[in-house]
Amino acid sequence: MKRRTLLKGCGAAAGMSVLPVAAWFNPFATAAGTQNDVLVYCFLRGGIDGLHLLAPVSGPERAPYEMRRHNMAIPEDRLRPLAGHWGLHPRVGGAPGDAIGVTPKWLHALYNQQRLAIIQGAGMPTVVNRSHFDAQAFMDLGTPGSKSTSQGWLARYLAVASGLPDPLLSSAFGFAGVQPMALMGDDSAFTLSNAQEFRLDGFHWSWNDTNPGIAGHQGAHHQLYPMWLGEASDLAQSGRLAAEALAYLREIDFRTFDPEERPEGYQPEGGADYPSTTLGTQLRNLAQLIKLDTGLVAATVDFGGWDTHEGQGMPNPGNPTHYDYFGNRIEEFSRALHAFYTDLSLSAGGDFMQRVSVVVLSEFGRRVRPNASSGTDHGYGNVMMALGGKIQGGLHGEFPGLDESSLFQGQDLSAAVDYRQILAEALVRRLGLSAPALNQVFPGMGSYQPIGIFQN
Amino acid sequence: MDARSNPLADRGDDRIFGDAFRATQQSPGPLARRALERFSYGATPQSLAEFEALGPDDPARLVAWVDQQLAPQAIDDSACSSLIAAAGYTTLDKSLAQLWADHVRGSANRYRPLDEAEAARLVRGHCSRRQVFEMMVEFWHDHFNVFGRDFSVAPVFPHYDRDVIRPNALGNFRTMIEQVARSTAMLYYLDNRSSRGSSFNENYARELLELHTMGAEVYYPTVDPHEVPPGEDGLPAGYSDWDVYDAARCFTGWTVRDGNGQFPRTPDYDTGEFLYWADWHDANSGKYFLGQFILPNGPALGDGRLVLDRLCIHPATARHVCRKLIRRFVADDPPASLVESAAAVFRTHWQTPDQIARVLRHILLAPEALQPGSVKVRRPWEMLMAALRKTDSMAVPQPGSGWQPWGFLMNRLEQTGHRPFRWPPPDGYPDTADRWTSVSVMGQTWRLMSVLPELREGGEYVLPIVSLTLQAFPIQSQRTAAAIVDWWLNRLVGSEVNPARRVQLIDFLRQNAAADEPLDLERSPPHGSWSANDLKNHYVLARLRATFGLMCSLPEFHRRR
Repeated sequence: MKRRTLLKGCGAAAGMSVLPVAAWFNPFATAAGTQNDVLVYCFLRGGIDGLHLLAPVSGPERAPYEMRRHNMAIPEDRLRPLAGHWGLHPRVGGAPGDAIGVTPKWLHALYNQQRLAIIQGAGMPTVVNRSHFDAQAFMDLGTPGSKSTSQGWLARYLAVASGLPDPLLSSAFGFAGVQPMALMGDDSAFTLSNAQEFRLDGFHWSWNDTNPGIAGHQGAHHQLYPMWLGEASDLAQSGRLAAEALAYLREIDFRTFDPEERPEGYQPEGGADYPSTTLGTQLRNLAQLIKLDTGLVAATVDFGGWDTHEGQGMPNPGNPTHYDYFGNRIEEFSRALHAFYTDLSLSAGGDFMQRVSVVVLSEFGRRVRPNASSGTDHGYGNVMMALGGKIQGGLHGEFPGLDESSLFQGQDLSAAVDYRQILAEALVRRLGLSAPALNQVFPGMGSYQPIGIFQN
Repeated sequence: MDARSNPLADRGDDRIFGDAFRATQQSPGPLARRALERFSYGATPQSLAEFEALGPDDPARLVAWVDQQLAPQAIDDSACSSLIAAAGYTTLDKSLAQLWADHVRGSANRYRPLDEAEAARLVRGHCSRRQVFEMMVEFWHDHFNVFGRDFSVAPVFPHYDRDVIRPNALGNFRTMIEQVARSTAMLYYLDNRSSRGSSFNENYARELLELHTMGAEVYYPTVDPHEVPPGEDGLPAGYSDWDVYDAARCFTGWTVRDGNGQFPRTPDYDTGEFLYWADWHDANSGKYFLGQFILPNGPALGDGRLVLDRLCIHPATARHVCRKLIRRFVADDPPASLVESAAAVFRTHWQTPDQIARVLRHILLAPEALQPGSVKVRRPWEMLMAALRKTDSMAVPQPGSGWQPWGFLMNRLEQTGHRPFRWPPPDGYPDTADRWTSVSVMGQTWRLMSVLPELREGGEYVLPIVSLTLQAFPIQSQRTAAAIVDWWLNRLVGSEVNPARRVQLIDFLRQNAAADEPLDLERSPPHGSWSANDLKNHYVLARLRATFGLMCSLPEFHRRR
């Protein structure tokens, strides 16, 4: 695809020849300066309970909410009120010990700055499916109702987009262990669970790295790429891509800065405080890649743990020792996204968030009525979120309603906003895709109907 | 760059490029190699020799080998059992009640049982001679996946592995699935433990239909149950959400003796074992499941058992399970004809004690199974097992013994995404190449392979690379880089190695040595010594081990041919 083919070209021309990696690529010296927009597709795997994230504090929905949610309804005084009748789960904007009145933190603060949009009544209006695996596949592939599509929606976007920068590394990074479905079929996407531990480094030190002080000496890792030449199979292509990624990423120090131990390490800016979790590390790695300006266009990030059939948890703001599973999860998420936003928006290199948008979604919402295990089973409609410098913040869409006639099949929140329309709007307004090309990314979506989440 | 590093300049070197290479191959019949790379965790000199001794020709040997493997109790596996017995593991023989008493209610480490079960899994994977059985154990752990690191699952995991999965791995599916349904690990993992009455928890029932039996291929999400299209034998072709809900009702009350406040406050209600608690069973409502009514007020456990019966005789279940078995042993894209014929065996024998062995025999001996061109890509765990097997390693991990070597090894394995019992969602590890050939998986697998030959326990190498090499080449003058690389490639892969890759590996191993110049493998063990002016002597033993790590990262080694 679009990625420069320097390494491939060298290999093909020189047969088995072994080249010093450092001569090919120095990301700090050759940053492409492409200034392109970046879309981050963040999937909350497991089906987050959107009604636990954003609940009615008052108004006409409060009474049916209490009635149908029983013991799982969050009391009014434990929600962080937004304008209107809605309130956020308190841990979106504060630690367990923070009372409701404490100044909002993290995503709640960004919401107040109009940088976070929450879309109500979102999901897959054209298809109902309560299987995690089917519903995730439908969404990732961008073809609700079909999971046999050979390409993910992001892969199709990258294939049809015109004018994308020629990336130094790859147009797309999937932060996951196994290939994310949204990028399925893009044979140039880099999939990494962790950038800083992506390094061929286990050989004995004598042959692990090239010793420049010894004439003719080369580390064993140089052998890897040429070992995968001379074969056209899918496996060999994957192997060459992986060997290439190892070679390039070896030149970037993804570990955190330490003035003595790691002066070359990465230093988050603006006081950004990433949680030292997988999600925090992945978003930190992503911010670093975005700042390197290598022509990265799209990234996927997954954050799971939302399948709360049992012990979903109830917030108790102001009580620092109270255990709340959902609260712990949403706080980690809120902190990590806030760190990412802060790091990029307050960078000495400029406000990168002016060209970075994050879209957050989940495969389905959860049933309104709780189950016997203080948890919730699989439901239907849900919220989506979007974060960025060019986002029209606030509440969007329409709450589908909790009265008998509004509930889907009498049990679930309904879904009116097609999640594809939100992604389509990001592609058109931020990534410069022409609206007519949308039917190649989302075949069968129907007409493009932006609802005003993204600024042009 | 000197001439040495440009292999094109070496093309005239007959000793490396000549026909001698082919002549030195002592590869056994290709069928033995293919069968053992595909149906076991890797061919070894011993397993190849044993296969060759099983009959007069390839077809006869294959039948004999498969039949031998499908009767694992008759295979002497005392060497492997002894290794595990001598390892000093303390939790693997504990009864479920003992695990509960010690590791849930008591102060013993909650994760120790899981860690030891994993260590034993690693020993059996590469040391057991019951290779098909061990691969089937892995298959069922994926099929009936639970997340081992789950707070509630970890302490009872040895029970799940030892008493639920292993005894049934080649047995009867109906028997196994009921034991899974009653297992403490599954009752916690999919929450059926707390499913009660009319406000049931659907988690287990949904995955039972979608993953364990019929499969999402026949899921008709929201249609009314009587609108699911008719299939074979008068049964509905698939299931809808309403089948899920009624199945969930049928399993209400299947729970765990976990000292719940509603149980009698006696010790026998806090043993961690299975309990059918009638008060929580939604007995009074009639249920409608797969096109048939289940009458109210049935006998204890009866509703759930009816659900399991109907699922286990359903053609969709036979196809779903057989498709996965064929995907495991034959090809990512299972041939439809083989799925159908295997499913027929599955259904015919649904009540036979060795149903699964019969189905597997049908699959492994099918003409499609070892057709040239059918390829499976090794998953990272299989890469590790193959590397251990092919080096005669007897790795016996000691959980909790610190970072070197076992913590390090397990950490590297975890980074590949394929550490045993660590897949959080209920669908189990994927089994198609496209999911295991991402940049991340391949890069992390090579990281693992780079570490493997350097691992040491108490000064001894876990993989005896250098000593095996010295044994193979007792005479110093034989130890040329070409001879050593060829010997290892034959052992690791067989004869079909891309010649250019072979030359590349030889060049790396020999450095500036002449093609017929032996390497000094007895120089300053264990690593060799500094020799910057004469690279052939620069840390030559460390370089031999690095060459091994590279060979285990070859495209040829990534394939179960």
